Amino acid sequence: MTDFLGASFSFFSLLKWFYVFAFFIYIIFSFVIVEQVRIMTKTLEVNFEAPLLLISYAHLLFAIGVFVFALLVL
Amino acid sequence: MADVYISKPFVKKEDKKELVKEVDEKKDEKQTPFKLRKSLPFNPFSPFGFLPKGVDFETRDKEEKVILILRRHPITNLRWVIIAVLMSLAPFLLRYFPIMDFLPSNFRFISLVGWYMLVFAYAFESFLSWFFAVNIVTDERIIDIDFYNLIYKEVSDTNLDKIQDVTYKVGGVLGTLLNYGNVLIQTAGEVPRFEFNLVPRPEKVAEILQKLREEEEQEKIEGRVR
Repeated sequence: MTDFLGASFSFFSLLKWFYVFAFFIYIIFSFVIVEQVRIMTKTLEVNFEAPLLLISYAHLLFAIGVFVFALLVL
Repeated sequence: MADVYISKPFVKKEDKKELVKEVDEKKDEKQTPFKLRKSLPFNPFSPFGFLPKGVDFETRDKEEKVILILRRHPITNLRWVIIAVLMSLAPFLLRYFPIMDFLPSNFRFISLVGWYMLVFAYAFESFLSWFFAVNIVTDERIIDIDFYNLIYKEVSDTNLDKIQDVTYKVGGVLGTLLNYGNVLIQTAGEVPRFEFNLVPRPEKVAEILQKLREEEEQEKIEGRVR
């Protein structure tokens, strides 16, 4: 039983760190999106830059929030 | 047989003058070179912007005027929209295929959040690829801006006087119904070929390019070349 519980503990622990790592990679991806939107809005201006930048920053903040949440809750 | 009398619609003298003035203004507008015409309000999501107000790009000269801004027809986004919608609905299938039931509830919740973040990223990135991949025609040149992925951008341009041939093609059921197609431009520049892919009203695009080339020729003759 202890062995089983021990194995269960290490599996979910491993899974947790897998999730945390995945969300960390996603934060980097979100940051790349922010940079890309910045470059795109600098290349072409069509009076819609502010909402797009806002969405990309909100997306990045959300990704950071989910990462912290995963770290604390899982 | 009785005579049939059809009365002409009554138009007041003042209204008639207004109508004649409007027709004359439209005729003058058509004869005015594009660079001297007024800019028109532009919806940022529109795939076809003629004389768009408020449009600017990185390499524009101060005196250069944007005549046309083109994107792929919105219908070309249907594929990624459908995929995004299906991806959004996919978690509901877990009710019938309980592949995640072995996970505790907190893991299941985080997995769901992660899934929707991926769906959002896919949809947003697809939208950005459509929104910023534009073809611009100014009074001096044509510019092709392409963002192939998040980290690769290509901007090419050529002067209007280097254009040798303009061909447009409309094909397929959707293309014919919705009037969108490809405009192929052969140039004598470093980039020998420009292609405006799946743009709306390709015949209008070809017409505008032709008129711009004529205006450019006229400028050269009059010695007004910048």
